[in-house]
Amino acid sequence: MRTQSQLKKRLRREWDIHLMIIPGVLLLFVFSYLPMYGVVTAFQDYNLFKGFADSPWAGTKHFRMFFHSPDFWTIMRNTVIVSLLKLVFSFPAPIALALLLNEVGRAAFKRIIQTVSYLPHFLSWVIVGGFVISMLSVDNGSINILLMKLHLIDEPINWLSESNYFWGILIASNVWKDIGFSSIVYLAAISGIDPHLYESASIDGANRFRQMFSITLPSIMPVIVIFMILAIGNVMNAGFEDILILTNNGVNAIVRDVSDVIDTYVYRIGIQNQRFSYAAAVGLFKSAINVLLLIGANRLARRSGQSLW
Amino acid sequence: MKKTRKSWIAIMSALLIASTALGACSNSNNGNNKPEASPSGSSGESTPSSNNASASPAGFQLGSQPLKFSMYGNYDWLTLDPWADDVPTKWIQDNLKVTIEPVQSGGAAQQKFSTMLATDDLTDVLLLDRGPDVEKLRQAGKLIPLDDYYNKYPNFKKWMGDETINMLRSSDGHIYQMPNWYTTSSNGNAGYLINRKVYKELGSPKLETFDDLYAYLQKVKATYPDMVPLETDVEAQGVQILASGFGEGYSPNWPGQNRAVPVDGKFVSIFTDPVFNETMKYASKLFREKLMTQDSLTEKKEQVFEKLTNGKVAVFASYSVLENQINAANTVMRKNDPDSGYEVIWPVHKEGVSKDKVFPNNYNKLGWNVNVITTAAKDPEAIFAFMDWLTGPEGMSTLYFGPKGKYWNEMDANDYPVLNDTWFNTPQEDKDKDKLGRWAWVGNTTYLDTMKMANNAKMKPEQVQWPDTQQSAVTWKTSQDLTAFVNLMPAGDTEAGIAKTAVDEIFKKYYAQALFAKSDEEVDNILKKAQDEAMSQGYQKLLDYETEAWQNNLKQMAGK
Amino acid sequence: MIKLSSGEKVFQSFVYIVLILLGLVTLYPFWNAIVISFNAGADTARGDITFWPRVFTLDNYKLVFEDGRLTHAFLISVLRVIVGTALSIAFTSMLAYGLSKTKILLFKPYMFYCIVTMFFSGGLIPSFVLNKELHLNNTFWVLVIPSLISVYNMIIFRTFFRELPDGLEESAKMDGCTNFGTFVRIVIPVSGPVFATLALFTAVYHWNDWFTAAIYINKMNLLPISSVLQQILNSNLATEMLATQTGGNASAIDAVGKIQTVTSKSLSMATMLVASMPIILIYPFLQKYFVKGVLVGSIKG
Repeated sequence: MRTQSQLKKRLRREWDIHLMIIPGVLLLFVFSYLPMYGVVTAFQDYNLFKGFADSPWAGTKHFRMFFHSPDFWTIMRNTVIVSLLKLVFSFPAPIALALLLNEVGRAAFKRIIQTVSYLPHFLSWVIVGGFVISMLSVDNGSINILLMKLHLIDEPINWLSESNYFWGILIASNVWKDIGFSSIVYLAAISGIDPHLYESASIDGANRFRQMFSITLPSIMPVIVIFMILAIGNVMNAGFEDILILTNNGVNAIVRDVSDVIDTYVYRIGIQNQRFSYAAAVGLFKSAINVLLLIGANRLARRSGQSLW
Repeated sequence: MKKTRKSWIAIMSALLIASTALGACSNSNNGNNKPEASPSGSSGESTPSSNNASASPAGFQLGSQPLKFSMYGNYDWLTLDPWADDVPTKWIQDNLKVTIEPVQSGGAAQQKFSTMLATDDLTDVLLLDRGPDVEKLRQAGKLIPLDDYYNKYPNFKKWMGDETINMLRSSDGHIYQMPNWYTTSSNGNAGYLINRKVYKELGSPKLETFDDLYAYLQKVKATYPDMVPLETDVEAQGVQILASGFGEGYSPNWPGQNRAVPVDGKFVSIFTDPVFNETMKYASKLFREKLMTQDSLTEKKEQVFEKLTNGKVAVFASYSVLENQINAANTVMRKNDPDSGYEVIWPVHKEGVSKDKVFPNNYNKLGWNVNVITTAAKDPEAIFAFMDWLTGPEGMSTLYFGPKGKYWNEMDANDYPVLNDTWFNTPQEDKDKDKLGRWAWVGNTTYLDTMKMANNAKMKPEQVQWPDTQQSAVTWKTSQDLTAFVNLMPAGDTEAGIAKTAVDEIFKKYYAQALFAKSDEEVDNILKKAQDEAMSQGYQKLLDYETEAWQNNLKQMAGK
Repeated sequence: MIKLSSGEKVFQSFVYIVLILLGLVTLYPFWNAIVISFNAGADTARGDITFWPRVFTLDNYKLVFEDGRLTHAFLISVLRVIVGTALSIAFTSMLAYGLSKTKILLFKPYMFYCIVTMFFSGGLIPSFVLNKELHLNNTFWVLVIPSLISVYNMIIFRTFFRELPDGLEESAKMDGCTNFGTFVRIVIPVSGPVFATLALFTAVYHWNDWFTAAIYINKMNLLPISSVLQQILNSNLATEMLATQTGGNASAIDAVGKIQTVTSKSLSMATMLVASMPIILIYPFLQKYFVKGVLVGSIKG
């Protein structure tokens, strides 16, 4: 009785909040949940002509095949390492850029750098790969020519065919490509900071450098934390196009021991050969791990006062 | 203001609820019904060839009634040109009343094709690779058998020849495919190109055996430090060309595609094959001593062309040594200096291997890919009749030289168009506007090649295009017929197909490692490792599959 | 201007130097692409094109712009960006505002419900079947409606909404505003930066996305510019591909005496620039929404 009247009271207070949520919920229902029956392919031997209803069941066959594939542990290791490297380097880079841009007084200069640094986002990986590969090649590659002229090396280095350099090249190209684009959201967060905070800080004698760490960074921390949670929930997606392009579509197999991640593996083994069920099974496995990681990250983040739910 | 906004929201939500409800039930119903519905739907059309044949014994007369059909090309890189956007197809539309509606892959061919199959939204005609996809469509009863049409219409039958027709037969005895760029004569563009200037400056040494080649490359490296002695094209494909010289009749396809070698009627492992072993040792030595491009695994075509264009390559081994860009580079180089440019040499061979049995090139009579007519087509016979016309002399001449009356008025005794003065007097730029040469998806190589050779024979030697001279001098003479080895690719989701994928990956990995090996022993070890790993991944199933498919081909070619 | 101490001057110079370097590094490849797009294809094949075209030509652009479908495709894309972005931002921000209220009934179920869709999907074929049943395939709306809600953007939105000072909304409520009224009248006006950011993200997505059109649209007159430019590029590529695939039979092409003046590389640079320039130019205009102090002004005012 009492709870019912409470419920009524609550509903009276928040009915229009629910009304704002419901269209989104319905759209997701139609365009995400209705087609979700497709996940059954992971447990079938899916055949395009037979469809979802009549394809034979395969149980966990495809999952077992994946776990028992000889490269399983190499792929998992690479996936985790590449993701962690991206978390350590690609993730903070746009934050640093946003902080630096915030220190720029001249509006025109700031705008130019903002715009220029976001240009690489619009170059496809194919074009970026073309640049990177020609820069790093042994025959006439500009990096090798430069290093030779500076007498830092005696003969050209085969950058892209050395396992030791692969991760570095991968991460550097990633940072370069998306640093500007990803910094936009942090710039948006920075512009929400109350200018009075800076004024009172400088009255207290804090210099610009100190203010960056005592005001700007803490103010955008909530946004950073949320992005961090999302990034951790994305660890199983270590990259795909970037790796594919930098390994010359897998031809440069000499670095495969460090370059192969789950998505490039599934592309080669499953998707290219129309093994839909296998690809679906690996996809499901990835998602399951990602969800667990996201829940874990969210739990940790809650201690800092920020969380998704 | 606030009120109107709110009601807008309400309407939107209501609409959404309604559409959701509709979507939900109609969707789930259809999901269940589809599989049963489609076979019964198509069963009525499953024997249209006989129906149509009896209905119109005289065959379909092009132009007698409008013909409109849709066509899809199953390749990421393929965009079918808009129909009637060029002079030849415009003429076809106006005079033969044929209109083709292209459906594009949009760069996502495989996904697009999957959705077409899953929802039974097939186009009337599909252009795709021979093999697993065609076979799946056939098994699902989605293809129209073309046997009767092949007998009724003249051109395919005439230009393909019986052996090729037999090879196109599916296991149920029917023919469902129309080939594209089929041929009866040898061709190919693979082999070795040498930089003439460098070759001359180094005293034009003998370049016949691999020892000669090795000595020559060393000389190049010593004399021109900034030059790439041997360029092996992207993916180090040139190494597979080298393989052809280490064994008589040894095709680059064995390592390059089949990952297996035919020996005494059976396919056996490539990794234990002595010829392949020797090739890898030789290539590895060249790589180690920097006699071959160090970017072999990472470079892109554009970089290869860059080196060739700048004359930075002494020897180029490739599946395709006469491409447009190379032709262009050669033309420019020779214009500046008649002694420079490139030239194809007779393929290099190992001491003891007969130079007349070295075949870097191969061809198969079936050509490149095929067109099939699906059960979605309303009038399959009319479509076939049109395709048959298109692949014949009239069709090919119209596509490549425009409709009769513009650049040609009559055909000679061999059915080749006699080009008139307009053709020779019209500048290339204006001819480009006609957009000739599009829509040749039932390409007739035999016709076009023999026509070209006939034309070249009439010209003075210096008028003949450089690639043509190279083809007739070397590449076409070093080509073997591998028609018996077509369709060796198992479907991706079968046991043999899974093994094929695994072996492909193992091959790529150890091919790369063998190239980078530090010594001959290391090559041996790497190939041994590859063999063990491949066997553990079901290699034998692939070998068995390939053997069986090959033996079947032999039977089929004999018409059994 | 406040006078800077010497330490701050060093810091400032450091900031400027780093940013200038970054600017150069990010600008160069783009500039190089522009240069290549204005250089003759055959000459580009020689390599070493760096800061300036060696053999200037407009041929690459001519080939792109002579295609009659381009203007129409451009309009489709513009329409898609405007309609798609406006609707998507409207629905997503509304959902986000609702879910920024963590105390509401069913908050956690709602949130989980949304997040699940980020991780699990039924794949392409069920979506295709669904869109077919909804009669969305081969219509303009298939480019817009299925992607109306972006859960990722929703999460960003709500993070920003949650950072708004509590007092802001409470005062609005006191004035008798409903929650929806508060959102429209108070929250949206002070959330310029996040709206600008996510509108940009969404617009970029809509402009660049070619896959949706490739799968769901067969009608030529509904194809967006990314698809049409890809087709122009592909038909050039196809000529090269045909030459390779048919072995010696490429002769058929030589027979017409066609020599490629525009190579696929030079053409791809030109198409890439034509495709991306319009959307790139949006950002500088959006930057005015990234000014500080919007929030403060509104509270005080």
